Amino acid sequence: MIVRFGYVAMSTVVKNASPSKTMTMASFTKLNNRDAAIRKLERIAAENLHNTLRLLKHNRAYDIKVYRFSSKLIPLATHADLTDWDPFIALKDDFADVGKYVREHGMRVSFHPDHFTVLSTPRPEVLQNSIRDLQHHVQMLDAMGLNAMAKNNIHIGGAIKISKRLPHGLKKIFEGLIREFKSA
Amino acid sequence: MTLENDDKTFTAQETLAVCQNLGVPMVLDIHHQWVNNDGEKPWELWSDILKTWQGNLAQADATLDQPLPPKIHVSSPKSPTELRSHADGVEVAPLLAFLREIAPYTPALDVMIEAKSKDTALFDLMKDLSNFSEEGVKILSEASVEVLA
Repeated sequence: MIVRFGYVAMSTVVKNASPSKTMTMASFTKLNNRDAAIRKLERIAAENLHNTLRLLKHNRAYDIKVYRFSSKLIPLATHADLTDWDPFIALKDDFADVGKYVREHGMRVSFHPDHFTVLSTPRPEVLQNSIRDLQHHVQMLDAMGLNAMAKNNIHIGGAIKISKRLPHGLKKIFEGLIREFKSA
Repeated sequence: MTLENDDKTFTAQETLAVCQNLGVPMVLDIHHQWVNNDGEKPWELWSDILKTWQGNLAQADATLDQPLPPKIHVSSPKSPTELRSHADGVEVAPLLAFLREIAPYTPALDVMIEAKSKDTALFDLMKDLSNFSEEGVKILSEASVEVLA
């Protein structure tokens, strides 16, 4: 049995290569010019993607073929106050460069949306946010031009303690999502 | 999409049942399985988990000669009182025990290390695995091994 090992998001060897630099909503709103604030978010995201590429190059040097991307590549990407912002326009080339490197070197990459992404929740607003978050991860993989071999991994119940029985309707939700996210 | 067993709610068996039902591949987290199980050993579920990786969704865009290997997550408890928290590194013994159990009928496996020390944990684990070179573990590269059946 051939076993390949991988690691998650950050290196403890490559310095100053965080792929998860962020900005809080509080600092975002402190910037008076909203357009300028959005450009700043895009600059942070571009840096995160650049650091991701640096990490992939480090991985290649050590024959590491398995890697999980940071879910925080784009700060505030799914924030409710920024739904009019499409970060993928400005970041098109940055995402494409990461995906190209992955394909060229036959790497296995994935995302793991955080434990707030739970589809078996009885709370409609949590479900809605979870679906939005999952869609965001699919968009990132699409922007990288990666196919269905790059997958999003999620928990069913996440960290929230819920009934172990699959709530009514969950199967329908999953089936809908699987159809929608076939490529993920 | 893949679904993973978690450490508090859905056990590996429950997650497996949902994966079978939906036709999606299951990521087995052997640390979660250890702290949240139905009394089974992790390898007792493996042949069924392996089958979830043979479905159309699991193998979408993969080729027959290079199928997408199943994936597991591995981490070690931080301390005896913090069983669910992740330690800096990975203990080799429980992982190797699992790998040896499944090696006879699993051609390839990818292992995601979820440890605080990230890639350093990977390199340390590789060092630990190299101590088993006369006990069926062959080092293939800086980040891969062959576990002989």
